[in-house]
Amino acid sequence: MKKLVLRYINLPLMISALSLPSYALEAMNDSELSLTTGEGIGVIVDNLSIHSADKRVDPNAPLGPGEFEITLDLVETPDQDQLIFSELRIHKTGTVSGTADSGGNFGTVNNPVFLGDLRTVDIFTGDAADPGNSMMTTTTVMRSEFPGASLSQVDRSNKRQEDNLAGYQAAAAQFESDLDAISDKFTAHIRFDDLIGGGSNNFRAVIDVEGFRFYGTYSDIFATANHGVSIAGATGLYVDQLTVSTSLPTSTSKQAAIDNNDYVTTPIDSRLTFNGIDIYTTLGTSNQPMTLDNVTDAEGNNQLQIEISPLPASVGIAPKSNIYVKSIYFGEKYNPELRTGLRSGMADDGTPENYHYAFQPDVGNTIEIRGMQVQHLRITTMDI
Amino acid sequence: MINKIVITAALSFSLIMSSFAELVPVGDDVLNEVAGQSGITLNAKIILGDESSFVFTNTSGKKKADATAGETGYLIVDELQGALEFEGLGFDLVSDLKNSGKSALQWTLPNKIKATNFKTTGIYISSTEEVNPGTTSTFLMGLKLNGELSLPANTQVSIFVVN
Repeated sequence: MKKLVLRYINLPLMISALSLPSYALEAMNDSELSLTTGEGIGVIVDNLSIHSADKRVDPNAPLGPGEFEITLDLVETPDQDQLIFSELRIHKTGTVSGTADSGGNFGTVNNPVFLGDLRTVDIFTGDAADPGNSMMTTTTVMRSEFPGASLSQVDRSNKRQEDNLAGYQAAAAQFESDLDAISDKFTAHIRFDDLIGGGSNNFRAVIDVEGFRFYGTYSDIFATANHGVSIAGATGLYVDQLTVSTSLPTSTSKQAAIDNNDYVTTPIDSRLTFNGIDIYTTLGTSNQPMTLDNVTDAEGNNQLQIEISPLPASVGIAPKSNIYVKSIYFGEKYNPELRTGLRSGMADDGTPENYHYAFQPDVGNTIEIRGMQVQHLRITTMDI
Repeated sequence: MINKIVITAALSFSLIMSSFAELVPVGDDVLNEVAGQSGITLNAKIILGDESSFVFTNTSGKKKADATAGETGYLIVDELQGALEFEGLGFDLVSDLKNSGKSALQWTLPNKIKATNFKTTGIYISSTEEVNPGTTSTFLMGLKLNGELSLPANTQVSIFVVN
C-alpha cells in the first residue's frame, strides 16, 4: 500500500504565511454610521438587448433553436390551465432584435438605478378615520430609484394643450430631452398563448411596445406595525406606441412591414395601436403604504392580500395618478371608415392625409384619466 | 538534493521578507492600464434538485418569536428544480467608469442563457412553513422556464458606490 508523503515540508513558507499582517473589524460609532446616510449602490446597464426566436409553428413540437418560453400553471395540476409567454425581446428602439448593435443604455453614472440609500421618513401611525389624529412616527426606509426618478409627469391634459399649445410642446420636448440624457428608448415584443383544460395551445395576442422609458420611478421599503414589509413608491412610464395584435404574422404582412419600415409585422387589420401613452401612478405613500399580508377567506383558505392603506382623514388628499393616450389606430392609421371630416382647405380626393380621423385629435388626447386618488385599495387572491 | 534545499531556502526567505514589505498605493494611471485586462470569464450551469425552496416569512412587523400564529404567514416558492446554464459570463473591475473617477464592478451578462425545465411546482400562500395543499397552503401559480435567451450586444452591468 502506498502512502502519501510530503517530501519537502517548507517550514519557512508556512511561517511566512502566518506572518502576514492581520486586521480586525471595528465597530462603527453612531457619528460614523450617520455619515453613511445618503450613500447607496448605483447600477447602470450598457448595451441591454434580449432576444428569443419566433415560436415554433406546431406548439406541441419541442422548442426550436433560440426559442424561450415562460409558462404559468394556474391550477395545481400541471399542463391543465396555462398562460404561455414567448418571443421575449427587448432592445434599443430603431435596431433589429438579435443583432450585435441592438443594445441600448439604461442609466448614467450620475443618474443610475439606485439601490439602498437609507433615509428617515415620517410614517402615519395614527387612526386613519380620525380627522384630528395626525400622529406620525419617524422610521428608516430603504430607497431605490430608476434613472430619471426626479422627473415629473408633463401636464398633457387637453386643457393645458388648448390653453397654451406652444408651452405644452416646449415642456414635452424638454421632458424627452431630459430622458434622452439618461436612457435610450427601448422596444419590447412578447407573444401570449394559453391552454385551457389540458386542451390544445391557443394563440391569443402579440404585444409590441415601441419607444418606452421610465421616469419618476422609485420605491421606499420599510416596516409597519401589524403588516411587516411596506412599500411607498411611484412608477412613470412613457411609451411612443403600443400595438396589440390578434393575428400572427404572415409572409405577406412581414413583407409589408419591410416595405413600410414598420417594426410590427402582424397583419394591419388585426392591430389595435395606442400612441403617446403616459402613465404615472403612485403605489403607496408614507401615509398610505402598500402592504402584503396573508389572510384567511370565508372558506378558511389562506390568501394573499395586497392593500394600500386607507387615506388618513387628517391628510385628506392622496397623490394623484394620471394616464394619457394621445391617439388610437384601429387597424391602419388612415382607416377610411374612421374619417370624420375633411381638413380645412384640402381636396376631397381620397388622399389619406386630407381627412380627420376618429380617435386622432390634432390637439389633446383621445383618452385622459386625470387625478386618480386611491382612498383605499385591497386586492385579495381567490385561489381555492 | 543540496541544490533543492538551497533553492527552497532562498524562495522561502524571499517570501518571509516580502511579508514585511510596505504596501505602495497604485496611481490612477497605473490602474487605468490594468482596467479591462483582468477579470473572470466563465460558463456556468446550475442544477437544482426538487427539494430547493424559497420561503418568505411575514410576521406582521414583529419578531418571529413574538408573532402569534395568526400574525405569521408564509409565501413559499416550492420545489425549485431544473437547470440554468450561462454562457460567457464575465466579471471585471474598472477604475474609471465612463471617466467618472469611480471604481466599479463590471458584470458582462452571458451571451446565452439556457433554461431546461427550470421551474417551481407551486407558489403558495401558507399558514405553515411546510406546504400542505388544501389545508394550510393555497396554491397561487406554478412557473416554468424553458429554452434559450440570447443577449447579442455584449450587455454589461456596472455596479458602483453612489455618494
